[in-house]
Amino acid sequence: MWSRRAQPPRDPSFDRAALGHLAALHDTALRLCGDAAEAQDLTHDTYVRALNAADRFEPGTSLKTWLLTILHNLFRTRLRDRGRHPELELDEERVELPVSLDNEDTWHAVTSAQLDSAVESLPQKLREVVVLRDLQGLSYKEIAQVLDLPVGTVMSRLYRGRETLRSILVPLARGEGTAAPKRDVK
Amino acid sequence: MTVSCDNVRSWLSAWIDGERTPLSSEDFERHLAECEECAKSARTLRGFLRTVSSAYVPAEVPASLAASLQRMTRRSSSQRRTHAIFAATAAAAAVVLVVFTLLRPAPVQAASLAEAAASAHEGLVSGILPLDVTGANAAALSRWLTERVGFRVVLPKLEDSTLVFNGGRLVPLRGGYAAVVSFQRNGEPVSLGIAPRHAAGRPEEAPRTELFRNMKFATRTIRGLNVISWSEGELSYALVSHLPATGRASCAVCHGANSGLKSVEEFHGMRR
Repeated sequence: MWSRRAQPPRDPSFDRAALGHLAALHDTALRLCGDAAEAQDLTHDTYVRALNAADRFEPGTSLKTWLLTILHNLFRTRLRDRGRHPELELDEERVELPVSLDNEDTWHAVTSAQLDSAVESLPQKLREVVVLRDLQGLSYKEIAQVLDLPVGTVMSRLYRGRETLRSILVPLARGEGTAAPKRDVK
Repeated sequence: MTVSCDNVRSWLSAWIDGERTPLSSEDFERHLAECEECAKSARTLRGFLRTVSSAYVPAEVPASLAASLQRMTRRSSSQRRTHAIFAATAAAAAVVLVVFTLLRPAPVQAASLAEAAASAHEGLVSGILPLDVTGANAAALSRWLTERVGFRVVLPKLEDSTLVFNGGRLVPLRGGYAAVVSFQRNGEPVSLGIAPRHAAGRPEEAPRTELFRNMKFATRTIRGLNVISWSEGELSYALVSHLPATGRASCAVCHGANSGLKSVEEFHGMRR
């Protein structure tokens, strides 16, 4: 006779630890989706998926990396379902890099709104690597796991992403551009 | 013989990011000491990364999303408890749990990280609250707290003879937990509260604020204790002690000699 498979008991501290990463997941979702309602939806679905699959999480590994992997997979599935192909959205070789931006003193003047605006301007593939490394603090290996990429590709995208981010930030920091208004997440 | 510029630049980002590279740290340091161009690249990249980290403020989590997820986990927890009633060992476990709960002091409830850290500090100093973990090893303490609070705790290295870690305690804060690290600087008890930025809240006491390198430091007096609060990346911090909340002593609490952090001697003069 068929019976519904019982969910294995979940350690209550797992829920607490998972919710501890809510700000990081929501922020990443917002930067991926660029839309507050979609980001909220994606974050919620990530937690539903994660809590139902808690028994697949390997203790001793990074919970944050595991949650971000689920979030990215769900995001890509959504893009595919809508007929959008993130892998076609960037020809990495055609990203123009700045020539020289070595004015070190400029960096102390960047605001959070300018940073948000600059990150939002990055091509999708560069943005996701920069967000995971420079905003969320993942290691190269963890980023490779989240995005299912070789570490070498992570390194080259991170290099290009940072150079592109600098090329966007420098004019903003010098007052030559306008930053997008702060995101509304209500 | 020193390594080539090409080789150093290929791996410079990875080295600065703390990743493993085919070159040793000695290779990088020796080359950067001799090559001004590569040293400038390293300074520029470090400055860029520091600025990104300082300017980054995670988006505020919508209250409806946080509430929805809290409800979801509470529901799961409630279902688990219902099943547990029918388990053979539930009665014995419940007795143990009740005894444990009665013996343990009531948790400190606070609306902000600054208040939670101040209350924990008072309890720890007076001996009313016990430490959840004891030990002076910063790395082990960081690991213990990281495994339990859901965010990464990195404490400064302990090569400074004036700084002694006592241990740490978890403190309930706005539906989650903050880590409170207890230590002594020159014998003076100090507590450092750490929590996700979105959970840090705002204390009632009016702050005096100071902007330093894109970072805002707020100082308050809570029940006679000096509390310095600041945020960096996705975490917020509250430092509680009787030490003066401004000036060199307040910076030296974390940035002591050999702490692994930027030396107080290096940046303190810039605040004036």
